[in-house]
Amino acid sequence: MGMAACQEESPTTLDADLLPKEPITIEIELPWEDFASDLEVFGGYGAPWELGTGVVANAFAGILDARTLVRFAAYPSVHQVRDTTGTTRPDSSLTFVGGRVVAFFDTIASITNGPVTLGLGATQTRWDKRTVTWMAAVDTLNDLTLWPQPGAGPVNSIGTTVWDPVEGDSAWFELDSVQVEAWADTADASRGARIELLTENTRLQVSRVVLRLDTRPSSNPDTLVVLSVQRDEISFVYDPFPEPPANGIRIGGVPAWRTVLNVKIPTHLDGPAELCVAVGGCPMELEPLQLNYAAITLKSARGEQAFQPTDSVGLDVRQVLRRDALPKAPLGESLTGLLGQRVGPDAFGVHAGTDIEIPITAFVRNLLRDHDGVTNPTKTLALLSVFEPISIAYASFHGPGDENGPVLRLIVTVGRAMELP
Amino acid sequence: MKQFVQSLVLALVISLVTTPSGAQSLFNAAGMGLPIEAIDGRARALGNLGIGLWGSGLLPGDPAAAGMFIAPTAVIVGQPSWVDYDHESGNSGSIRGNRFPLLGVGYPAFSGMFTVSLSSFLDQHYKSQRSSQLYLRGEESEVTDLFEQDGSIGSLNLGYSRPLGTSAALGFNFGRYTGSVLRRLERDFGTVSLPETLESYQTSSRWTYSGTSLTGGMAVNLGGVARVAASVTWSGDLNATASDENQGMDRSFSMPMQYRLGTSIVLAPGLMITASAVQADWADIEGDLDTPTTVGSTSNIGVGVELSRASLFGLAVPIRFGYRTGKLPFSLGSSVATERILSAGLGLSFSEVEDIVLGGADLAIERGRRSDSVLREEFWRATISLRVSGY
Repeated sequence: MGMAACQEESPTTLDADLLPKEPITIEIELPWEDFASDLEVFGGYGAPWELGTGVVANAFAGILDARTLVRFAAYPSVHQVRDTTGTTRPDSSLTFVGGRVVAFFDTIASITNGPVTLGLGATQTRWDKRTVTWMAAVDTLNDLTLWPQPGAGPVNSIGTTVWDPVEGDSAWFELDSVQVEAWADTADASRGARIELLTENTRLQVSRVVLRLDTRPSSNPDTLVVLSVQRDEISFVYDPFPEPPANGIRIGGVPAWRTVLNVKIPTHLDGPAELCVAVGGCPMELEPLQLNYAAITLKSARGEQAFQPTDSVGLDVRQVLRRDALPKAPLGESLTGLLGQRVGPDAFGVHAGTDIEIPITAFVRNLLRDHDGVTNPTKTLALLSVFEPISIAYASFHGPGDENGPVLRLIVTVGRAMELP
Repeated sequence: MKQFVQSLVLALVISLVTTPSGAQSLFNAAGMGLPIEAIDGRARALGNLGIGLWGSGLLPGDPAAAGMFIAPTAVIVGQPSWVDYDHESGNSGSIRGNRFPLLGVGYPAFSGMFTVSLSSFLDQHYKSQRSSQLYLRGEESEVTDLFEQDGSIGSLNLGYSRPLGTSAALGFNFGRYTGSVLRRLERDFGTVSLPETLESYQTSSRWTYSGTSLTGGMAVNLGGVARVAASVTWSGDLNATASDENQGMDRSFSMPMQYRLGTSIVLAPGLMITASAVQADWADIEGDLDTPTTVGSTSNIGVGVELSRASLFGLAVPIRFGYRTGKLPFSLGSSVATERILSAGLGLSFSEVEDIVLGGADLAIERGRRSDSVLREEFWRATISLRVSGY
């Protein structure tokens, strides 16, 4: 009997009067100057090759040109082929008689109004995928090699093709055996394909490029076998490179942008009046457990049209552990979780001016808990994209200085002193 | 003596490993809580209020009784209960909980008995909740305030009792109120629609109780067929001291004088009846309570009968029946809350020498009802006490 009753079921009284007086929950909005300072935008995090995809554009939004550079892996040296007797055996004497470069496009991330014309050329200048830019083919330590023509040129033109998004997600360029042979030498640092867009005011995202080789095996010369060669390296170059915003907040892009700001959390609240009345006077010391919610609220802005996001942007917030070491300062753990705060692309287009809240409740609570008597403890936060880099597009927000500037939204609950009956 | 020490250790271990919390009534929320009498299973079964019983030697309310049986003694009492409640609002439900209302040890010295006991006094544990509407971002959202009061008031008693001749005894208990109460409020924002779940708001306050009581009593055996006992308890103020980090204030509550009178009469061999009464006027505490509470005077009476010749497997298994009725000091409604209990029980003797039980257990089952103008509770309550004695 004693065991049966060991599991407690506590009574729940039915009279609300037996509870302490109801606590007050209020929302407080702190303007920029009351919670933040020293906004700076830093760029240069990551490089286009880290995306593993390409971008092609031609006077997109009137300004943006972008070209994709690809190197293919070594051609296959052996292949299982069915010979004239019907027996399948390895054939190491393959003859490549032609082929085609197939480019696949991300139809959602691409911006086009219809069929577009694309051009393929073979690069002639040694280039480095990690450092290649619109102007420089190589930009490593003690080695700066400019393209003879800005924009990864010149190239040996291979051909053009038309891609109609309605018909599929890929376009291809036919290759002759001479070009196939030219790209077979993996020791040649100048080898590579440059894909460009010839139709103006269009921007496409190249998700994948494959080289398909028409192969004649020696064991069955009457048959053509198509072998695929994956790309070995891919990058893209673009122009112009966006200038840092004068007074705005920029997040994302490639190389990626980060916005850094100092945040000072008020340890005492001087209002609003409702709060002061409830607690019997202000200033009121803000206790960590009284803070239910804290979020930096940014107002989205329409950035440069050429770099408008076409997909959701994941916003992240991390603490900057050493501001004096910026732009290479170490960052703390994410305050927004694995996927960050997702923002749809329309927030930077037709719905510009949308309030975007990035919750930082745990961070602010910890700051209040650890302030050690320091009034308004200050920490540095970095606003960045969850993955860097993630896209050529970047997110733009209004900076401080006007009514559209960032605000800190707090939800605070304050209870009256609890007394015995 | 060795057997006594072993039994005592066993009793202490049992008390330490068993969950010592819970609650047994919604009336815990009224005023300063629900009184819990520190009496054993035998007294419970007999409807006795803890005074004037043959054989029950370690009851804080009957300090003289210890002087009637000069032998090392220990007792521990456990008390689970199951309660169904019905509120005037239409809400009903059930609760259950455990209590250990008494742990006592007595040891003879200086021609008398020294006793130490830890006893329950007031149970204060309860939970409650309230829903509110909150306007955030122009939308109405429901939030829930969850309140829990967890605590109780006990008493640590040091006593001495000694016989006066062969048929009377005098005793007293010096008591210190102990215990604490934690009042904790949490606001749960539920599914308020924001980019991140709102952290709940929590606040709590703790008070520690202290105070002094003194109980004096006398017991007289009349010709071997009756015992009459009486006691009076004086209490100083019950002080509640807020912990340093509290927002709450220190408080002080007036405790009533408590008067007890009880008797046991052997009508025939193996047949004993008992009657007892307790009176305490809690009116003075009303001015100390900030929350409007109906405060009454507790006048309780109990009667019972014991058939001690019953046996099982050669061991004496006394059978008991009882009834008690009375008033509770605090109620939730406008009228004074009352309590009525029918009880039954039996005793088991594990070790007995010359009609003296050296080791035994007493079991009581009670079926009772508490009610005031807004709440009615019907409950089953079991009381199990283990008692060991030795020389």
